[in-house]
Amino acid sequence: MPRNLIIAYIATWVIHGSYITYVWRRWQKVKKSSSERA
Amino acid sequence: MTKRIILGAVAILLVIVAAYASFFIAPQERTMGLIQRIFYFHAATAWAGEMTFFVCFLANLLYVWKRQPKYDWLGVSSAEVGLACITVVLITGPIWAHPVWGIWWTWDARLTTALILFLIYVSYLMLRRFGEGDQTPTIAAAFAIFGFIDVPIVYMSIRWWRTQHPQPVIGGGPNSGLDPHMRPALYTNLLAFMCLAALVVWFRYSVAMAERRAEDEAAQRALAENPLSGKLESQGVR
Repeated sequence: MPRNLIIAYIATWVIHGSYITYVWRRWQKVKKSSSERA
Repeated sequence: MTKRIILGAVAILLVIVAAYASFFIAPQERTMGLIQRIFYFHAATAWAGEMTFFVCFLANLLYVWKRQPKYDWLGVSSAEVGLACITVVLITGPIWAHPVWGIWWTWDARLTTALILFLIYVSYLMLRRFGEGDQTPTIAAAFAIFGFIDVPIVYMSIRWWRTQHPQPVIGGGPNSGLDPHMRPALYTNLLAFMCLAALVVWFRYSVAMAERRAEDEAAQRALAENPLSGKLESQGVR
């Protein structure tokens, strides 16, 4: 496999993965604060 | 939550199948060789991004019309996901272009309009995030509605102008098209990235709703603990 193809595929998942992780952390934060209130 | 888990599992499965189809099933392109396989996830991500920008456009139209905050949250959620997709497109494009064209970037119509699209949605999200005052969501919604004009321009740019970017393979006229053996890989990637984008928009929208609910509950609690401050604020005393 050419190096550029592998780099492009990894870059795709680094960007998507970073964004999904960001949303996941925000959700965890909301869930945690609502459970603390309850 | 169960629906989201099922959709998440389907999306992961589709992503695995799409990767397998791109790397191992699709035939090798004659002139570019293996590097052409970037096309499958580059184009699929671009389509997923354009789909989410369309959702953002509709959500902002509905917000301007009905003034319900849920449409504003949907607009922000879909713009964020679209921005992640267009970022992928702007990064994978030059990685593909460099060995094929000999350059990382050129100011042709497709690349330039795609970069403008990225900047439009960065501006929209910055306006939405840092803007102050009650009118901010409305101004941001109007910005996103007009900003969407660039999406069909990006799509049509390779049809309207002569570009360095390859000509369209779908809906590009009688002399264009994709080898039938390459189609399953492209369609699987399209399905996988669109499914993933829809799932993430839905998830991000749920987070926005939960955050708003938490803020409302905190405000109500503060009001119950100190009713006088609420009364003073409602009379314009801060």
